[in-house]
Amino acid sequence: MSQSSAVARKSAATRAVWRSLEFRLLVLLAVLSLYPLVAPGRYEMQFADLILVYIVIALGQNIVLGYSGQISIAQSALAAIGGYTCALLCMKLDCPFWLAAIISVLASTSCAAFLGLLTSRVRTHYLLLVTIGFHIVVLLLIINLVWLTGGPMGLYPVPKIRFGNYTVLTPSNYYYVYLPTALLLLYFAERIRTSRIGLAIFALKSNESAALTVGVAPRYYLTLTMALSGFYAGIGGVMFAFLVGFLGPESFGLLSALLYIVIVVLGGMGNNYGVVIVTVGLNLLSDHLKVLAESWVMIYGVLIMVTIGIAPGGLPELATKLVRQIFRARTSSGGVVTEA
Amino acid sequence: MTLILQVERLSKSFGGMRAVNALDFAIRRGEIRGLIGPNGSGKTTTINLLSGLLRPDQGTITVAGKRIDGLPAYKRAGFGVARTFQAPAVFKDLSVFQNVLVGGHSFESFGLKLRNVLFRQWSVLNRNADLVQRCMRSLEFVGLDHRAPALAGDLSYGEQKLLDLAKVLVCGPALVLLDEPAGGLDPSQVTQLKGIVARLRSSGTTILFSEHNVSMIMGICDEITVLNFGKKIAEGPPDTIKRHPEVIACYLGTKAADQ
Repeated sequence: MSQSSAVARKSAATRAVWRSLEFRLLVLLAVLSLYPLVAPGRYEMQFADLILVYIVIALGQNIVLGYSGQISIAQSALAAIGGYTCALLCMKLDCPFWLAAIISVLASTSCAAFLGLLTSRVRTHYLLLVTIGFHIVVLLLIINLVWLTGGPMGLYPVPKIRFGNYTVLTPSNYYYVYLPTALLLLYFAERIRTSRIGLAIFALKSNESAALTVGVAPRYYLTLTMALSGFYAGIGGVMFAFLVGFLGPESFGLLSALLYIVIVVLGGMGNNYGVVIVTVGLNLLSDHLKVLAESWVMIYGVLIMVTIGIAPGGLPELATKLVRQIFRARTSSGGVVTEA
Repeated sequence: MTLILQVERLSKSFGGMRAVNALDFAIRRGEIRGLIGPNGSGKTTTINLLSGLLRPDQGTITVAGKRIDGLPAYKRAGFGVARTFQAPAVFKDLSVFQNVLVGGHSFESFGLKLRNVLFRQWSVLNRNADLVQRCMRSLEFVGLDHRAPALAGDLSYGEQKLLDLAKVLVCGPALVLLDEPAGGLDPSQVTQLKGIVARLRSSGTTILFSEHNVSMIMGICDEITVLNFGKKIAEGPPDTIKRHPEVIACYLGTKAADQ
């Protein structure tokens, strides 16, 4: 009797491990680590690295837009701050990479925290206006401080990442640095979502006065979400700069900022896995539709309108709706057959 | 008898309208106090002032000897003041259990120490068995424990009202403000609510509730405060209130009061 209950307890414990976030992400890491072995070529490898960069930045956008419902469009500008700071520290001051990376992520995080503190009294589309202003200021600084940033000509060449004597050189080397980073940040974002912080932020979004009366301080949490999004954007910016090797203002334009909003809306506001899947999907799609060039952006607008119109919960909601419809169609047609 | 709540000269105007006008009242610890009055008499405004969602123009609010009228709403939970809303204020995208977890937000205070922000805040929900237990007890208290995994938005209106209550009980507040708790409930749910209020009182909680349903409030209150046009017009035990001419006048019209 006691033996069987011990077995049951053990199997329950095993199931808990299987179901745990850590285990799932480790499996994902193991599976995705195989990609360089099957990648058709250098271009595909480089493209995979770039997608990982976008995933990191989009996860940050998901924290501010998805978790707290605050429409911030500052994500690209914050990534630019991270990327430019790190590149400049390495290029002009010969700073070691790890130190430069820490400083630049701190810079983007504190810029975001400051922005969050400034905007903690405004909500939704008013925040959108303030953050557009922030974006424009940052881009104008990049374009006009030619002596520092190279202005419209850009910064070139940003060196490769170096850890001590080891230089990360090929795209597949980069993949093995960026993949664990992205997954770690995904893990971090998921943990935040179910933490005390995450619940407080979701509560503020859902019903601010109810959250207030149970002790959730809005200014603190809204500043914290902005700071976290800046943290993600900073890391993404550093990753971008050292992967591409070139930094120009057009890499951080308003359209790229809009792209992150599209990703979060399509990914289902607050759903980290949805955001990751949509980032991969949209990048693959845009890669195949390169012929359309800039007019491809038009599709983003249509996508946003259609999503919000049909399924405000994004693609996850659309998928569950579709599955349910198909299931229902099947069972009802099954009924007809048996009657006949 | 110690006083838990003391309100003095409390006033609030919206434009030219005096929603609450120099209101004075005090509640003893462990009491059930009713707050009644016709529509627009200032009941909800009073509760909003007490819970900090509105700032008073004038007057003081003292809870257990400490003045709280200058504090923002989110700090008042720490002083043992909790409230529910007329329209149930639940977090619809969160599960029932997560709703009560948010209610336990000020159960442990973390401050702004970087170490706490970085580590304690997100380990607390998974590792703090004490908080989880409190949350389950709170759900059991209102009879919603079987709905814990459900999405709060999927609950019925009545269940959402109970959840609203369960979520503010997690921290064990000393004073609970209920804003029309019976509004929109069916008779069986009203009976259930009466039971919950009675059990709350026996656990030592003080309750102030505003209500339209006069028969319900007469049944369970120790004392009743009657408001009209933001002013207190009567106060006393239910039997006195029932016979008070001014109360009858404002509820039934002056002619009825004359008879």
